[in-house]
Amino acid sequence: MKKNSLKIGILAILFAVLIFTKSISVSASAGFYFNGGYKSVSNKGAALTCETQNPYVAASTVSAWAMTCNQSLGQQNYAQVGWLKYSNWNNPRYFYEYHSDVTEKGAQEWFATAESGSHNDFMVGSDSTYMYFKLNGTELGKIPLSDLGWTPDAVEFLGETHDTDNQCPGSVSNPVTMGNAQYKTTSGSWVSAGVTEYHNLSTMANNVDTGDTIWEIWDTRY
Amino acid sequence: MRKGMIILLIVSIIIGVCSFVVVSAHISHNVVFPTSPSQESSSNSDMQEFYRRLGDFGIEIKTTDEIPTLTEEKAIETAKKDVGQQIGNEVESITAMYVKFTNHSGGMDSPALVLPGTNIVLENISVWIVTFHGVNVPWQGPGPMFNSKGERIDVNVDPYGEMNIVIDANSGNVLEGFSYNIPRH
Repeated sequence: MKKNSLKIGILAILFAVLIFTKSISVSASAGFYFNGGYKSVSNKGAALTCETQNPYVAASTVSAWAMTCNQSLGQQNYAQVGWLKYSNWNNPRYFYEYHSDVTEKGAQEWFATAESGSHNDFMVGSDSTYMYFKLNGTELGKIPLSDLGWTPDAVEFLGETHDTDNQCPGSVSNPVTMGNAQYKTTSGSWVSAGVTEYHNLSTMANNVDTGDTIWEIWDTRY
Repeated sequence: MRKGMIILLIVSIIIGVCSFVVVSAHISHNVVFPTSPSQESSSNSDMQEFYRRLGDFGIEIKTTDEIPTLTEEKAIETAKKDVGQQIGNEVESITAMYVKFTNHSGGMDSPALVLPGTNIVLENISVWIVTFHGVNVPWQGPGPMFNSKGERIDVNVDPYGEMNIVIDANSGNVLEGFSYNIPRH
């Protein structure tokens, strides 16, 4: 009887440890993970030619995009355009999104399916009155600058996942190409945006060298 | 000795069960839809923000007397399937409206948008717009933000707002989606 109780007790402890360990790993998996490059510079927009792929999405989303944003305020002030895929979608979709903590206004719009393997020009930029979002030169949307109320001081060109179990866009044999990275100067001309590398997951990899305007990103597990 | 074993056994089981509950809570993220979706008309007060924000997307809608091929129930079912686990909390209500839909993405004076990746012109298309009210809309959010010391700061929060799924009322295909925040004061 004692031996049986001991065996059951040990098995129960092992079970508890196993589940507890699993719970910790699950808790740690959700987050905001990025792979690519950025440049801190006053600007009026960002543009990128980016390959669309169809990554594995275990939970939440995977995306790749060009963004103009304000970092100095330390808030959610950004405008971006690219492609994204939610875990319940079979294919990626094109999207744009913006948010302002200054005006407390934000929105997202996405469109049907995006073609996996295609290379598309994504551009988010402003003129004197509007911030516009373009896909291959076609305007997907625009918003009055007065609805934003912040001044861009950085551009970012990144793949993004919200869960460690998700595939960062790209694989070892077929990485996602990001190229022709540009930003719009405050005087209104588009120029090359040599970036600084950034990634924050060990399973994310890229071949970004400081100052690059073209590079690849991938997930080392695929 | 035996008493100690029993206590050890009970404690272990409790820890195991509690851990399992924690894991389940993390894995599930089930969206709780209202048991009786309120499919109100467009005059409902819930729709005020919807109409106020349509112009931001260059979207124009018109009423129609045509009979849709896709039923309202089927449209809501399709929208729920498309939303899936995207919405991170309970849905306050769901509404659906059958309208003629045009997307002037470049502003109301601009031509209608050709749906990217297709040859579908988003002009006077018969659609169901299914709106999920009172949800935390799962946006991509800002990229990495850094403070003055160059340290990463995390500012991502899914805002509270409404999510809309636009479904072709003849083919049943999802055409697009749009969402917006509603500031809570």
